[in-house]
Amino acid sequence: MSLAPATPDATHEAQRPRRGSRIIAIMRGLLRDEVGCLALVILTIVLVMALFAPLITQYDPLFQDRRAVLKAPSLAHWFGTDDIGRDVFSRVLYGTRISLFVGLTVVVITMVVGGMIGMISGYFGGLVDMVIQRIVEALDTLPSLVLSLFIAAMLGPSVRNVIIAVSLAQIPRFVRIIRSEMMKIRGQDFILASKVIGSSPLRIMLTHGLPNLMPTMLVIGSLAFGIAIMTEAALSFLGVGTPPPNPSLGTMLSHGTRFIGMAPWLIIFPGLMLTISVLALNLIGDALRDVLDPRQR
Amino acid sequence: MFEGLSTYGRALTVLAASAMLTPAAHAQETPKYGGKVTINVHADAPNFDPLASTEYAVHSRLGLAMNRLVDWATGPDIDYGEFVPKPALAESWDISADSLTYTFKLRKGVVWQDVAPVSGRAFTAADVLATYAAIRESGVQKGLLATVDTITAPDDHTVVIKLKRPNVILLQNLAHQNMWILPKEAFDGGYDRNSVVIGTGPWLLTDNQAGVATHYKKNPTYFGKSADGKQLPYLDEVEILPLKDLNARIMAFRSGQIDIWFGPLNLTQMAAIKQQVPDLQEIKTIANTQTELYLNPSFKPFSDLRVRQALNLAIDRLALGDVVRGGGGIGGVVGPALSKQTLPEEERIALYGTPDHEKAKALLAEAGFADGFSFELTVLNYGEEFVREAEWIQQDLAEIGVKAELKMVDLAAGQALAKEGTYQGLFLVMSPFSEADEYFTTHFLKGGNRNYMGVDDAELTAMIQEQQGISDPAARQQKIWEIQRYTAKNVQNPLPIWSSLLLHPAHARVHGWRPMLPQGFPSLPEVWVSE
Repeated sequence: MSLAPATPDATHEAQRPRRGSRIIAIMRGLLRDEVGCLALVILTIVLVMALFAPLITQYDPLFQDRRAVLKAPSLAHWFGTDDIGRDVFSRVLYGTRISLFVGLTVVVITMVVGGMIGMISGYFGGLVDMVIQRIVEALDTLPSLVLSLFIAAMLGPSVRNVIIAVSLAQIPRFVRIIRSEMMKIRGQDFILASKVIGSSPLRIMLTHGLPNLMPTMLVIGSLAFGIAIMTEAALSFLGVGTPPPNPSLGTMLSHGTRFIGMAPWLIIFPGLMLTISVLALNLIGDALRDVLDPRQR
Repeated sequence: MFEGLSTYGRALTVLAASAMLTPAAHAQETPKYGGKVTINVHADAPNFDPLASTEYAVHSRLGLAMNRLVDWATGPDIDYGEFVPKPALAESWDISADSLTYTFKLRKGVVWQDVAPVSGRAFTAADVLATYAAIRESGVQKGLLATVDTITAPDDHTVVIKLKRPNVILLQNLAHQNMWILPKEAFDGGYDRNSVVIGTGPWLLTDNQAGVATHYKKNPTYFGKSADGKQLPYLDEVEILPLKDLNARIMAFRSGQIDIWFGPLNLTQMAAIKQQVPDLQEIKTIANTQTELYLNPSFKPFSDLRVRQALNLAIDRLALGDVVRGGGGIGGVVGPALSKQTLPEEERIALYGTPDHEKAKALLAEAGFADGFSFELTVLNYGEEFVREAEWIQQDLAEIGVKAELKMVDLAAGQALAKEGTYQGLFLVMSPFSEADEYFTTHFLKGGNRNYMGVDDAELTAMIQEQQGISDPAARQQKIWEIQRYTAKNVQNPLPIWSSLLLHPAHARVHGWRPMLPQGFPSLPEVWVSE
């Protein structure tokens, strides 16, 4: 049996495209997908609006103009005002900011923690894998929203606690997918070659496993982004998410239902923003999956 | 400020209208016998033992089948929270000159409902003695008889209660919603009072199925009569539905499955119901609770009376009540629902409803906080309108330079913080009280179970104890007002904020329905239906 010990890295490099060129290829593929491209444009607009909210709106999202209570959309207040005179447009933008922040943070945490645990589980197998998978299965017995709700209710309402709750509920999904992907590649030649030259498991996972798992992580990350935004909104809707007076799309929807007859703008605009953001993220996830795995087209 | 609002007058108009209630539009019609009404009580009764629990789900149901020695009178001229004693099982009473002996003459000819093992025997003083002895021994309501020294029965129709010290609210205590009189067999093992209900009340409890309904049929031996001598009750049947889900309750009311609404309902929900049921009776009262802002003196800025006064001057309560609550009444030390004990409305507005931010800033500067300060305001999560009040207060305080960081907590956690005293600011809904004395003793006496502020003021304590011994109603009212003025001037903690509206819609076919503060639906025997 010949393992060609003199050129293991050359073998590895031959199997793995350069990282920069691969990302460019993914982006090109995404832009060639019409729906994906449109979703990317929409998400970019949402991101820009959220990031530059202070420049786009003149209103403080917390300021109560008590002379302008429940005003319908107008030139002064594009999305109207709420029941204590706060500008809904401003609150939607700042609420989106919080949603995107929560979503992004959750994705980073779940990718790092879930990805690492998944790689360890898939790479080592055996007892380590069995223990990790039983824990993951135990967590998976509860629907992620119920688990998030339980954790958030235990910790109390705050943005930080929402991030913790949603992340903990999303990690099992990451672990399972990354573990199965890692198991697929752990027997491949470039991994074996790296083992032969004495690389540590950590080095193998980070330098060989991670780059190969990144496309999968990107796809589930984009989907998890949408799920995190929805879960944050759901938790806020139920009163255990973003605490008042901070704007949250979920809280705005929850409170707006009280005025659905007399002030429908209180739920229309936060609802639209939530729908658009999550839809765009899901479409990007779908497009990414198609780009990275053309067989699923 | 806020000159653009629809005027404070709107809130005041609602307040006045609410205080007067809305007597049935058909008051002149002749009551009819027969028919049935259905009420929702949004919880099942875990048991029927009145000594075991203070739960509204229990006592609301017991009220239809039982009586107290003294009852709350109801009528078009009596406010929701106004206690006017009415003879019930006691047909009259005498109070000795020293206010230490109460002699009750029991109603003759009253019989227990025909349920084994009591089986329709006559009601006597022995039943009263057995009930009160059991309450004093182990009843959850035993605090109501804390001033009682002895209870004796010289004959079958007389009960004498001797007190250790004068207690001007003894009658009200005996009329308390938890003070039902049971047959003596309930206490000697004759039957299980957890599951069997035997009373002297207007209806017999015939069936109770958890999660389904509680059914009552007219008690043919009930002693009650209307003011014009007509036999009560008018209704043949009453049904209580334990609908827990708000939307299910709303649907049931809209469809006519429920005739009388009991429980929380806000103005928006009421408006939605009214679109479907345009001829409903829109009965409103002021809640016997109010929102309150507690300022912990162990947090340095709040140890200074001037800071507490400044915060009081920052809050625009009337605009808050108008915008956030859509009506109700400005808070007082004693809330507006206790209409004869709370300070007159104009005085409450002067004390609590006249914001002055310049004066507030000057007070802060005098206290050494010219640049303001920050504190954590713990907000118990009582629902969205309550949170809106907290947000409103937050902005008002910000306008005088005081930054309140809202921290939402659930009710249990908030109450624990209050009891431990580990909070800086605390915003909550006061527990309901039916007597000023109950509020004073629990809030302002050292060791009081709601004295979360650590108030220990000798002068205030003396005043509170003094009012407990004043038997003349007018003189006592003056003392109760004096206590509230003293508190506003010298304690200013907690800051009373707002009493919201309570909505009690009923279908148009229901007549004579007058919601009252105590549980048990005291006006129900005089309710009749036109169809």
